[in-house]
Amino acid sequence: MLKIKRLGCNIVSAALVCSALLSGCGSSTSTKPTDANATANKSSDNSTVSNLEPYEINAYFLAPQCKDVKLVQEELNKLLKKKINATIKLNYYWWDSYQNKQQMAVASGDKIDIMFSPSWWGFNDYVAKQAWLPLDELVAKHGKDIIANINPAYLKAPIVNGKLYAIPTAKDMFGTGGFIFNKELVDKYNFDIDSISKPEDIEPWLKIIKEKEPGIIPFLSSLGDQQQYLAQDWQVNVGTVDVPVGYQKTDGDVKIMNLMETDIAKRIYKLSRSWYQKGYINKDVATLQDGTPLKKAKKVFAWTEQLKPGKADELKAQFGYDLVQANAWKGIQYFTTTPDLTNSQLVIPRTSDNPERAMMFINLLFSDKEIKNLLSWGIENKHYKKIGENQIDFADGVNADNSGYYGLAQWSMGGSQFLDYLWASESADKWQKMEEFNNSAKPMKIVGWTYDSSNVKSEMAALAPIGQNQGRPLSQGLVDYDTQYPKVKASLEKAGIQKVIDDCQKSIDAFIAASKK
Amino acid sequence: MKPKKINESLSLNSISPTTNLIINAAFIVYCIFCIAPLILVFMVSITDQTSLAINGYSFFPSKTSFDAYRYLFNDVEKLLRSYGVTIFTCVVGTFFCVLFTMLYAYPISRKSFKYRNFFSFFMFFTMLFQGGLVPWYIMYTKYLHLQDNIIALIMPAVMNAFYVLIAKTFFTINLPDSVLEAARIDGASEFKIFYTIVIPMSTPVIATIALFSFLSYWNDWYLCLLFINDPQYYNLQYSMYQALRSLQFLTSSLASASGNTTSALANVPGETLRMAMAIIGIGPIIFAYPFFQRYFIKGLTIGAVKG
Repeated sequence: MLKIKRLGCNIVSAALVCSALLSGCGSSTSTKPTDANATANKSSDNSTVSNLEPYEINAYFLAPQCKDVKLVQEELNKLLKKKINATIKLNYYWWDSYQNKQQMAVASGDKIDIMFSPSWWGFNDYVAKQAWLPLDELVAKHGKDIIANINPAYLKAPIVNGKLYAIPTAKDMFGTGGFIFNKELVDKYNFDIDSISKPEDIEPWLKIIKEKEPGIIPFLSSLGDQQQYLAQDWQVNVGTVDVPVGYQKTDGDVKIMNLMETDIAKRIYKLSRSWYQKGYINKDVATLQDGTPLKKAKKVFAWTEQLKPGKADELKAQFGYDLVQANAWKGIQYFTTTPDLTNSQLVIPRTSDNPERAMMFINLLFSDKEIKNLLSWGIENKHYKKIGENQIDFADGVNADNSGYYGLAQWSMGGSQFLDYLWASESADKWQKMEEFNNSAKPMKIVGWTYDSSNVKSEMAALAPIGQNQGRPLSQGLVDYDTQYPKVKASLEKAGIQKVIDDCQKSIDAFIAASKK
Repeated sequence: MKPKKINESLSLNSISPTTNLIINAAFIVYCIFCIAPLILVFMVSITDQTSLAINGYSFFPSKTSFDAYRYLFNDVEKLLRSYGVTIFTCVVGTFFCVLFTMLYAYPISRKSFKYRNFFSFFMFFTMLFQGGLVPWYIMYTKYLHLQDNIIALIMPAVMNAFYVLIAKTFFTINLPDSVLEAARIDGASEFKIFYTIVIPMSTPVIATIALFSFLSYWNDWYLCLLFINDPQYYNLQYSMYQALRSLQFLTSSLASASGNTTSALANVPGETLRMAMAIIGIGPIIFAYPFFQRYFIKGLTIGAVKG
């Protein structure tokens, strides 16, 4: 009995101590939205703003929850009040929770004005559920800077049933498959990066590295680094990469096929296999989830990557040593496709109380350098300092570990990436190069077409694990294509790949017929 | 009854040395299987990141480094805060969970309670049918307004139908009516009976439920994922979950569509850091079980009525 009493006392006292601790830890820097509104009510001298009601924009971005998000929000409010008499509430969620938070917020009907909703996270499902607003009229009315600063192909992509549902981020319009190399080793052996015109060209280099550099993995492959990147200049999957249904990139008519049987796929599979047998690829390729520690430790000579101009510099900032990039294919025609153009975009949900103001804000992201960079890099002289006209570096006394606003994915913050400052490690002509890069690609005829797989849901669900479990060993070079593929093919056919191909072809033909009218 | 000699009773109840040896050996092996992964996790957490990348896991790291822990304690305020949130929810949640479970289970175990069948079914029904995730979420956020509130981490798990059934079963089996009757004849009120007779007699079930709920509060990250948006209320497990979940997502085929996985992966805490997080997360809970153990052993031998 006494024991129980004592236990009770202990629990109560522990609870008290905990609550005291917690309240002691409470931060006093958080600002209440009410003061923001109170100051917003003061008359401003800007005439265009004065006829706008004060409004709080609720925005969801894919970004890490840094310490100083609140400070950035305050800075942003100062700017927005002047320009569109609005304040903003920034909700940042990172890779681990964004999807989940988005689903819950939409399902429960929260009032949201702006949301990051890329095509690879169920954009089309949300549109089908009518969660997002059609934006055509809003863009025409409040989006002059958007139209002026974005490649017209972009605004053709997020179209569903003839209506525009999202504003893509103006950035790299496609990605090329290619390699990233450790620059130190490239220089050491005088490899000529420009001589690469096809993936097979780097084989002699891998051989040299294997023989002369013990302890270095010539070619790293893992779950996160896939050889599939090498085929992406040639073909596109209509669903996820696990389902081998898609089409070749071409100017002519689009034909849906089994992507495991194309010439290019066979070529990559066989190349991968021969590299694995010759010992160029790491032995634990089947189980290695993430090659990052190896890359950080400088133990890798090459790996595959989806490339854009300046990619190697971006990665250098993260791995801390010099890297060079090279496209795997030279002298081929590049195309942009719907997935390329819709992999980062902002939408306005139906629950927004003031979609017009939300569109004004998106418009600012395309024209206002100050606002765009505040979102991308934080506050000047607190998180970054200018070291040139358009170049920035960490502010004094700040580094990657202690910065209160760092590690964001600038491409996911919407607007025009061409307004972003460049990091110290990046070359000053990055954006010009990006422009040229974008112009080198041709939009495919079927930009704007997205496959709606609702008719073949069960087949898609059956195909994905086959692609994952049996297709991956092929691309990693663990098994031989000629002996293994017939078995994979049998499983794919059993799972109904032909039905998916036919259904998809029908959908494409209908789209093309409709666009010719 | 004459007390038997100790030797005699020993020889009657003891097992042969060979069997003893075999059983002991089996359990020793079993223990090693249980403990080895823990030790490995700890060893990985003090391995140098680079040597780990090259040599893989090992019980004897070729190069030790406490960088992972240094990194964690760098942000000691954050660590302490998430610890505080976790411990607070555990202690307060467990207390209320045990209290409510007892208060609900005791009446429905008494035959003299007229509506006990209705209330048993009322509780049991929730095990079969649930409202679904979204309505549940809306209830907490839109009607109770518990978003970003530490109560949201405690309330959903305070009442658990399964625990109530355990407690009810325990009461029906281990609380003879004669004891309660005796207490009533002696003039005790219902509450008096509950506090002075029932609670002391049910230490085993209290300990069981307390341990269950303590563990579930300690290991919970899901409530945090749903209801907490403000990093200052993140609990320990959720911080860990974030790192693991990011890695899982970024190495999936879904993410390769975004074409930016490499840069994103570089920002995910490395292997040693994840292991260090796990060790720090295990910390106190390891000591909880031995603490409850006493009650299990003692409690199960309690009897009140001479048969």
